[in-house]
Amino acid sequence: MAKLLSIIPAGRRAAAAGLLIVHLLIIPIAGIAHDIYPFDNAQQQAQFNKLSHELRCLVCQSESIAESNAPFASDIRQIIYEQVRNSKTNPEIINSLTEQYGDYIHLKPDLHKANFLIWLAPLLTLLLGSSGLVVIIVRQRAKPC
Amino acid sequence: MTARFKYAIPLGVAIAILLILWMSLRLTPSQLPSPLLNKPLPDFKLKELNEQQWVSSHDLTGHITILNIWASWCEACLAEHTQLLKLSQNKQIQIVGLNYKDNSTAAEHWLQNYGNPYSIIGFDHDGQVGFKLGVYGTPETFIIDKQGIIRYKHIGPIDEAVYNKEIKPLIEQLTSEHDYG
Repeated sequence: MAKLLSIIPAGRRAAAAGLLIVHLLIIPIAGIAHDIYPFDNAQQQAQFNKLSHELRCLVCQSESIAESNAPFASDIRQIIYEQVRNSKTNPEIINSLTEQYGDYIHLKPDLHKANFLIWLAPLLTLLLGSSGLVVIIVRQRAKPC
Repeated sequence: MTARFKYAIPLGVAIAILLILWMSLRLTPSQLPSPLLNKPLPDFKLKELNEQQWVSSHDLTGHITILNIWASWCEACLAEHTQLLKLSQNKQIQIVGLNYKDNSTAAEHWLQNYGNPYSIIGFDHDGQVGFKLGVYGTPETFIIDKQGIIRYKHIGPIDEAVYNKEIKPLIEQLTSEHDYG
C-alpha cells in the first residue's frame, strides 16, 4: 500500500487527501439534509410519504406536495409532518386539509360524490366506442358485396 | 335513420369534446371558491403587531370586516395598497390586517412608508392562522359580515376592476342588509 502510494506524485496525493476530507464532510451533511422530517418509526415515514404524494400543491401546475419546492408545499409538508407525529390517521389529516383548501387538494379525486364520473368516463368512452365499432363491422359484413 | 345522419354522429361527438376542452381553458384552479365561503370565520387568537394586546376572531364580528393577509416582503401587496387605503375611508367597515410570516420591524417600517389602512393587525409570524384560513399566499382578502360569516374571498391583489365589480357591490349589499335586516 505504501509502495503504491509512493508511485503517486506528492501533489496528487495532497489533492486526493483534500478530496477525501471534502467527501467525508459532505456525506454527513447529506445525511442531515435527508432527515428534515425525522420520524419515530418507518410506519410514520411511510404515512408521510404517501400523504405528501397524494395531495396537490395548490399553487403549482399539477405537482404533489412531496415534489414541489414552493413555500406553500413546504408549509403543508410541515403540517402533515406534525399531524403524523401526533398519530393522526390518514382520513383525519386529509379531512383537516380539505376543510381549509377544498377537494382540489386531492391529487387523485375520491371515488365518492360526482367524482366517480371522472373515473368511469374513460371506461365508458372505450365501451361506447368499441361497441359502436362492433355494430358497424357486423352490419358491413352482413351486407352482400 | 339515413346513412348521411349516421356519419354526423362522430362529428357531433368530436365537436362536443372540443367545446368542453375549450371551455376548460378558462378554468383557473386558483379561482376555485374557498370551502370556507359562507361558513363562520375559524377561531383564532394572536398578538397584535408590535403591541401587547391580543386579537381574536371574535373581534371581527359585529362589523363588516375586510380581512387582508399581507406582508412587507410581498410586492403584490403594495400594488393593492391604494385600494385598501381608499376602502379605509369608509367608516362603515373595519379593515383588519393579518401580517403573514413577516418581520415585525419590517412590517412597521412598511406601514410608516406607505400608510396604514388597518384598524387592527394580527401578527401571524409562523403562518398558523393563515393555515386555518386556507391561505395560499399573500395577498388574500376576505370579507366577513356582522355575524362573522365569510362572504367573499379574493386571492391576489385587489385592483380597480376587482374593487368595482366585486368588492364595492358586496360592501353596499352588506351595508344595506344590516340596515334593513
